[in-house]
Amino acid sequence: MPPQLPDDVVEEILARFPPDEPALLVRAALACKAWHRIVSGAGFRRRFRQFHRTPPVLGFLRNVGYGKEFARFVPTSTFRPRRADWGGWRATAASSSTDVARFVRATRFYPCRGERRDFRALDARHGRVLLASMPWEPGLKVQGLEVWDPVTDELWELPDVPHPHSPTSWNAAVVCGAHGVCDHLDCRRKPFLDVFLDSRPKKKMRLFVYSSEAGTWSEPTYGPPSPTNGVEMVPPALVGNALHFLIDATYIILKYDLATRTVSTIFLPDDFISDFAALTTTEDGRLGFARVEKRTAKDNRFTVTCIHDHWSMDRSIVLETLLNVDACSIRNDCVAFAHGVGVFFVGTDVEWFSIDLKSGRVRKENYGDGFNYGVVPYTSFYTPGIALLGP
Amino acid sequence: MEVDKGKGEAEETRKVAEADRDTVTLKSSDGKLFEVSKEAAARLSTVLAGMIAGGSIDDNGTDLKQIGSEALENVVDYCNKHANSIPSAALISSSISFNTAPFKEPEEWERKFVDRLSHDALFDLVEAANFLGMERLLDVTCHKISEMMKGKSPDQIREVFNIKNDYTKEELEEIRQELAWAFYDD
Repeated sequence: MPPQLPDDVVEEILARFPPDEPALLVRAALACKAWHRIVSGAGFRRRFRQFHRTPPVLGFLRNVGYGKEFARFVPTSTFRPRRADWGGWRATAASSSTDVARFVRATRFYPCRGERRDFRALDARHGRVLLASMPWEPGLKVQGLEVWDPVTDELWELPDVPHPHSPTSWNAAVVCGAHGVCDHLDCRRKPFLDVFLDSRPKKKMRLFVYSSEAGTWSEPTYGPPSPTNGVEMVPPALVGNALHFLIDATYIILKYDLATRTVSTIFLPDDFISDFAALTTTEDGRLGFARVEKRTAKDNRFTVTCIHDHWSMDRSIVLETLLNVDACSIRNDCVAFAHGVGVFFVGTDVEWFSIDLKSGRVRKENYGDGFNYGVVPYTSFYTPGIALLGP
Repeated sequence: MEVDKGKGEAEETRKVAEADRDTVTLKSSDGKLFEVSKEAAARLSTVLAGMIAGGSIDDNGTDLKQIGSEALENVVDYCNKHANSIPSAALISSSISFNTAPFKEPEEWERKFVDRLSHDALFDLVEAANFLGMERLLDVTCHKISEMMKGKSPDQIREVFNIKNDYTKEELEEIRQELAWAFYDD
């Protein structure tokens, strides 16, 4: 029989468990109560995050339509959120079409609520997911916004978005409230901000900020005039203290500085013709975008471009060979980026792939059924909660 | 230059040599002596670095009462192998930029080094690495242990670590239901 290891050595071992295998920590917690106390303690939680630094992609939220639209959490790990279905939010109308935000796993983790009917996932950052309640009707009218933490299953319903807002041209972001001072490794218990961008035709774009601490929406901050083609509903990117919204892929990126509460614009290159792109960030804090370009039926070139001093091509990948799929099936409106880890998601008519740019690893993700409206990657650390042990 | 020396002279030469020796002698709990490169010991172990800097190294063997001879032999072996290996880009970058690159996968020789250890020897080595403040060796040994834990049930984990289950059946069942995702078979 091997001798028992002292607690501090056990902690050293558990802190080095790979964060993309969250089930290992849960099983370790079930070995004995002392181990459970170690992994569910605040000290370990902090230590684990500081040791690994980069939160893994636990999964992604897939916006799926049945008939018209449906959203889901698709796990890419083994983690599963707790509320897999949201009874209170089921469609009230006897409609043949449904929208669901569905969690798809990338690790084992799966949240309690793996599926949200009549919801659409808009953004995810710092362990939280932003969902919009959107019972199907013409346009994209938002009924309400919610912020959800799939790991702890905490849910915050936000007060009504300031009205009137454009029913079809808007976007929103969720971000930790302590910008500039937080390292975002363990801030899920801290206040958050939600930034709502409204783009009404023939009026100036406006931004409203909801603070969970204050519990209210701010007065609007005005930006440039609304674009004719509307706001792209793709997850915004955070670089430093600034959120970047893709306004219209043929036009501009709107930059909102959370610290100074000011708006500025970044012009996209003149030859930018794609109608869909995902905003990307690099480790050294550069903003860029990725898009799938279909030059010809045979050439589905997936390009990643970074904004630096000027727009320049950073990288170009030919998806057809990399994914070994029929080029015609690659969709140009299904591309997403997991910030921090540098993982892209690309969809075809029948499959989802994740592409890790650093390691070159390509993985086929669980697809499921329904029609894809895009994915929102979810990156977070998972450590078992204290609640498991009871009083 | 081969010159005959008197006893006193030889003693003098030995003392001078020891003062700038490039190795240190470590003594295990069971009294065995091991020589290790001073440079590697200071670079890889915060505890040994402190002792060398503070002059508390004993030329006749620095007592490490918490570490058995087998574990100490492995520690010394690791240090010497490390001293001989080409400084890897991985280690250089982790020392420069801890914030972005905290953990680097074990290198091939490190992997082989821990793979050959018995279960007990591996656990003893983790304890020794922890005691001596050897971050990299902790990384490598703990990485091996976490690999051993993959696919293991809580029962099997208890067996590996020799720990007693102090949960009730009901408590275990409750957690299993709560976190069912962590328990389905691989």
